[in-house]
Amino acid sequence: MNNSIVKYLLVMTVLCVTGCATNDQQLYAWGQYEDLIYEFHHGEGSIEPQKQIQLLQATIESASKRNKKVAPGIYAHLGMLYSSVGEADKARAALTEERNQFPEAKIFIDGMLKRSQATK
Amino acid sequence: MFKNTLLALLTTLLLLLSGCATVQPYDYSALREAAPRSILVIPPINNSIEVNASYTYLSTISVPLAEKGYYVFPVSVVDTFLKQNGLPTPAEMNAIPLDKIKEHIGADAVLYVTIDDWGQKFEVFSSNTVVRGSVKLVSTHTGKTLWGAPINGVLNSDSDDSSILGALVNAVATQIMGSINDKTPKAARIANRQAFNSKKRGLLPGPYYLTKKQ
Repeated sequence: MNNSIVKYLLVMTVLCVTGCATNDQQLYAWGQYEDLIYEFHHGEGSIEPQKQIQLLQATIESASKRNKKVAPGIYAHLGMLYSSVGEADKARAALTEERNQFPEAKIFIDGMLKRSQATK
Repeated sequence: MFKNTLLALLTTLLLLLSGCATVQPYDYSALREAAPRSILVIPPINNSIEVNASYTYLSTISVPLAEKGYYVFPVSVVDTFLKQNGLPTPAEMNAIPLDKIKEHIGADAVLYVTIDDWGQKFEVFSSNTVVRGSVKLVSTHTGKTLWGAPINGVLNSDSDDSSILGALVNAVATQIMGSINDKTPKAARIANRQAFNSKKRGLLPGPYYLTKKQ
């Protein structure tokens, strides 16, 4: 009888502990986006922009293969990288995609597109 | 011995249960009323002695907020934009009036972050990586505080599972060298997870989470 009490308590304890851990599926494909943010601010050019562009493009491709939505910010970040290497058309396309995916970005992205036109 | 096991289990169970019960739920009335869709994260105010703290923290905040279901503005793009507009440091960025943010960025809410303690603390036989501070979500429409929480993450060198092998595998996989030896992003992610996902005091799910799960 004592044994079953111990067992019961053990099960309860395990349930309590595991209940605290979250185990949900992510909404978005992130790839190395956050590592690239770290790199962008601290890396001092340790990875070339072209390589960073490649990494984000790979994230976008693998997301579409897995039928996952690309995380907010990735297209915009990609647009900024394209702009930094002088690829203005690709930059605009990526920024526009961010706005299409997430209408919440409209005011910010429209402002960026407008300024990029003005400096052309 | 048997009795001791029983006692230990009972005590653990009691602690776990009471630990859950005594948390005062957050008052979500302002957050529910505002129901923001989009969040702008301003680079943190840094009161710690570690100069990199602000931007390292900034590299850990997009995932938890977006996975909660909010649109998170691209943190590096926004930072670049603000710098180009004459605001070179986080301190200045934190002083931007809310109506300007609404006008130029269009965010429904701003997440303000303060970092008070950051980095490795060495003790005799081990070291801890510590991230401490607080976050506060403010509506750009009303100026009201919608939600807030302390952030508190400790990564113990003994329990750290990022082995050298793991780091190497990671390095090959991502080709990103910079963040490997820095343990603070991991401590920040622990802090974020606790703050944002706390059962009774965490951030409520946003619109993209709710549409996805319905």
